[in-house]
Amino acid sequence: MKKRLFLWGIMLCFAAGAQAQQNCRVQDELPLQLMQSEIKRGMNKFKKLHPSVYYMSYVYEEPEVYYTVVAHLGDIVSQTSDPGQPTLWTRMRAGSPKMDNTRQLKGESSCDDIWAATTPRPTAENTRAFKVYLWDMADHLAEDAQKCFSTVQTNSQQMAKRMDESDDFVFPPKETYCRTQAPILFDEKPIEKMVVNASAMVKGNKTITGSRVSFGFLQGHRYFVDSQGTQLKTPVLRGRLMYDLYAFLPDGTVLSRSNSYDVLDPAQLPSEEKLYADVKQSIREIEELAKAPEAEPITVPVLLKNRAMAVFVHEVLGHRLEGHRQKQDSFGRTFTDKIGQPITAPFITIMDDPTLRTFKGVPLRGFYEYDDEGVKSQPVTLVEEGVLKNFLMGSSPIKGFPVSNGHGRTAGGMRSLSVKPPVARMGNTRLIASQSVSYEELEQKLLDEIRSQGKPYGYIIEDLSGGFTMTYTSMPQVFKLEPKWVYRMYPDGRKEIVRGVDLAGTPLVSFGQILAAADDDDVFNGNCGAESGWVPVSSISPSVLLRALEIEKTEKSNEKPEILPAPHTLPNGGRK
Amino acid sequence: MRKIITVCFVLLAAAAVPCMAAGAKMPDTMYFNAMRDEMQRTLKELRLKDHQNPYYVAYWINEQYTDHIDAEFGQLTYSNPHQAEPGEMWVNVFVDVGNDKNNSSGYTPGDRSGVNLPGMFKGYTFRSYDGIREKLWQMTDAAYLQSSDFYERKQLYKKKKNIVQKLPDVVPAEQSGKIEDVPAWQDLDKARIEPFVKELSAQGLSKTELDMLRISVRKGMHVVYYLNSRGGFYQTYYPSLQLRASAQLHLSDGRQSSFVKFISLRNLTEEELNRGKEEVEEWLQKVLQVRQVVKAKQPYIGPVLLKPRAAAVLFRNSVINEMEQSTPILLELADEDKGAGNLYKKKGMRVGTELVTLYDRPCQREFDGFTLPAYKCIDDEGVAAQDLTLMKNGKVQDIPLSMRPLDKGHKSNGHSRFKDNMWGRESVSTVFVEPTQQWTDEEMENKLLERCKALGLEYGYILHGWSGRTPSAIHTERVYVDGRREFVHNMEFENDFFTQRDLRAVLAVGGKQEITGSLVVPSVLMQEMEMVPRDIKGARPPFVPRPK
Repeated sequence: MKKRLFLWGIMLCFAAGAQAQQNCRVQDELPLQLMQSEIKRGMNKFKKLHPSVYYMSYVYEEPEVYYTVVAHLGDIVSQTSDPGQPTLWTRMRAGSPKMDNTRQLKGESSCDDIWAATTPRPTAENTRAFKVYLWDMADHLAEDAQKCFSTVQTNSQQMAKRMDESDDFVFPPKETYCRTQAPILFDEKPIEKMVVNASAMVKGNKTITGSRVSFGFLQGHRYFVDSQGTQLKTPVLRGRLMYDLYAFLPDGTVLSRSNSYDVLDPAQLPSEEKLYADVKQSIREIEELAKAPEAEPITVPVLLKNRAMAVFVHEVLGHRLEGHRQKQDSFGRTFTDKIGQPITAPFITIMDDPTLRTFKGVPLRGFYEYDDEGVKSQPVTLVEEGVLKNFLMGSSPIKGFPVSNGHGRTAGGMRSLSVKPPVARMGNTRLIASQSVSYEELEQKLLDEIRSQGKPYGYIIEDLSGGFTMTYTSMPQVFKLEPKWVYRMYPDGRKEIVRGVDLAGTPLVSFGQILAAADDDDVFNGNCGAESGWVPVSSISPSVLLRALEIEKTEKSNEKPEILPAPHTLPNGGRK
Repeated sequence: MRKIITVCFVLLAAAAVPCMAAGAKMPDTMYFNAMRDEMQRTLKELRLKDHQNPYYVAYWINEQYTDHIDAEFGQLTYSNPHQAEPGEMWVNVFVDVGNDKNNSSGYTPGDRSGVNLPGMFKGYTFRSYDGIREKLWQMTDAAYLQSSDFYERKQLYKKKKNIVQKLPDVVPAEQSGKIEDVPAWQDLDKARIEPFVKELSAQGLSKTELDMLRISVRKGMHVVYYLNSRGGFYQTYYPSLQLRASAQLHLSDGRQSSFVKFISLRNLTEEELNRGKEEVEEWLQKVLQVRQVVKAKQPYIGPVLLKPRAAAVLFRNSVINEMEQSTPILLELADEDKGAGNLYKKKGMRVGTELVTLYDRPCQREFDGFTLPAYKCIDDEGVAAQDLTLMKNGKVQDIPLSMRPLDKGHKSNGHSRFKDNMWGRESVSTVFVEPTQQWTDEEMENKLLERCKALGLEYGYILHGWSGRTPSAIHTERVYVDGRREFVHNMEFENDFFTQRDLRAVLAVGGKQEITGSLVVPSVLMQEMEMVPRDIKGARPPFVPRPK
């Protein structure tokens, strides 16, 4: 108990640290004022229409700094510093909060396609053009929302009763917030040098068939305005150095090793030595994997190392705790009726806290101040001491959870030009263990478990690249994770690298298998794809021992590697 | 501009290394070095057990540069603050297995729609020697595997259809090389172009009917590096410079409509920018005129004056398409290749009007100071492209030819051009439609009205551009015999395309030619065309008035 409280103390401390101060006034921000005035003008008319449009919002994103460099086999092969176009999109709701155009239709795909993205050329400084864009978009979308509402009405008459008859929308509270961030200037040369040198390290390697090293840095601002009077300006800031290495084996196996370093300022990038050492290590790992035996299907005890466990939490549990998945009848709703019930070990607590900006100095990609529906981000305790407590909520209420907790998210703007309606998504998901041991002790526990179960071996999953989980009732509601660096551990303590491993299972069984945890929390930063597109997320976890998981064979390609060796493996890179 | 033209005589069809003609000088650049090195390795080492070897390889490297400056209603909306980075770079790879007599191309297991034809592969590449090599290596491997498969299937198909091949698949021709110095890429001059687009787009501020007016100056350059294993090569580039105007407004019947005007520029001199500005202003006047919706009530059968952009479609549909791709493909899933041109069978026959002569001049880079986009002096089989007279006195004369024979004694005339998913096939380059008798624009309009009067018609039509079977209102002008003019919103043609018969119904040809795609064309007065009114509906007015 003492340890748990200590961890909570750290969490609160992080949260407090992330609460940045407002440093500008919404009334001084031209995009906010123009959007607000168009919303007022529009809503005066829209709310009188039949059916009426009762809510609307605009999001406008302006990129200011953009820099990417990509290197391949020792050469810069692409470099961009064009910040690109600003983007604008809008959301409209016709009908009433009880029933509106955003409702998922039963038996057919949703017509709620009005969250339209565009790439308006004019910035807000071009007042007339900007206002005309806002007006033009609203005019089209109001009509679309009306049509869609009519379809929703018909569908609700024709189709079976919904299991959760909660309203379609809860008005977000009115907020005003303004924070601006001065552009971060940095010297591109040392970064270019580091990226080029790292990319040259695979030259001549006969195992590695594909590689690239890249750095990208993006900075700008997002503006949100809605018909409730909310006005928000928040900075968008993201930087990532990463490398990917691939190998294609004659049996069709594709091997990969990659690494990424997320930063909020290029000054936080790892040292050259650290990057080169990591690339060297990844090259060694790919070479080792190429010679490693293939895994066989089996159910055995598994130790998921911290970052791998972080992905496991995200895929296996996190997606099933997203609010909209409890509401729509097409989803499996694995946990909908399990509030107040134990779903995992009693020493496990799971939170999602988008207010966390960093963890142990590592920037978290899942940080945001306000969600994409204008709701202030907030920490949510999903599972407390093994008992399910809450869901991730956007502005679509569900039975027992009538308000948003700031998790309505979507891709769009600087993330992607394809904007989809926001749904409840994760931000920074964290598994906290109130009882823990050292990692070495956890490995010993794995050995004990292998022996006590009489298994030929167990598995240590060091690294997971990602995976997916299926939540629709029309399909098996299983998850599949793709480990990239895996040891087989034998009862005598020997470790052996293996390749071709997938983890598969069902959430209720798998999450009930947790036996123990270590004290080595670490971060997995990534991108998560779901109905509302790709959003940046983070997941934090210590290493965890599971009583048993099912190991499957990985899919292989039907193709063979190229007939001739890669040119870069030839003397002098194949140059005559 | 330095030009080196060399000739390489084909030595052996299955030469183990690319044949470099005596005196040929390929530049020592990463592009040609990467192509040469991977090609040599391919021909020497790429083998699949129990299959034919690759005997012919062709590589293209494409490089794209672009920059643009845009303004809307008097304010800049885009001007890259940094130097514009080179855009996409991609390679195309073609591999043929077997030999000239019997190879893997000219056959597809599909029906010609949407299939990758043998050996032609495309892949985006990194901009470095190693990056290009890596992509060429991957694409060559994939192309070779597919060509090997298609070679075997082609033999089976020929047996199944009892095809006795009298002609070889390829008749080799002299190979040539040409290197054109590619000018160093220069971004648009911001100091001159930014004020220009701002000022021109600011004209929209006083036009309260407009929802949007955007002005853009766009500059681009497409560079192509080519090498084949018979020894042909070229390096060429296609610059482009354009002033683009886009407007959006609500028509008088409530519909929202967008209009775009593309104006090619010769250069960015004051004089040329002013010409562009005048054209935009003239176009903007037309756009505002078109805002008042005029709908035709009656069908129309009568003369139509096709301005060059519409006339280009007449020539393209009626004869040029039928002069291209003359060697048919063997199609596993279709009885015949309906896309193959058949005018080579009508050589010497009268198919069109005597009022024009059609020339193909592949090596002409410019016309009236504008770059010709279909310029290609060495074709995509490495053969020097020859000038052709395609149609004279209404009769078919020359046909574009590749190394794929149509009959005995066949000889390529250097008109093989490749497309993204297709190996080089017989194609025209720049076609000049030159009048044998010509009239001024004013005379052409008078002729139209005279013809109308003679037919007892109250009006005729001028088609300023082409937007398919349903012409855009800004392209469809009704001209009355009493001098009135108006743009009509709802006319459409009875037929989708022009036919060869239409080309024999030309009454008169204008003297002023314009570049339209790969054609340089004058106006044409058609004896008769049939148009019918469509029922177009208006739309609700905006829910909220446009902001001021």
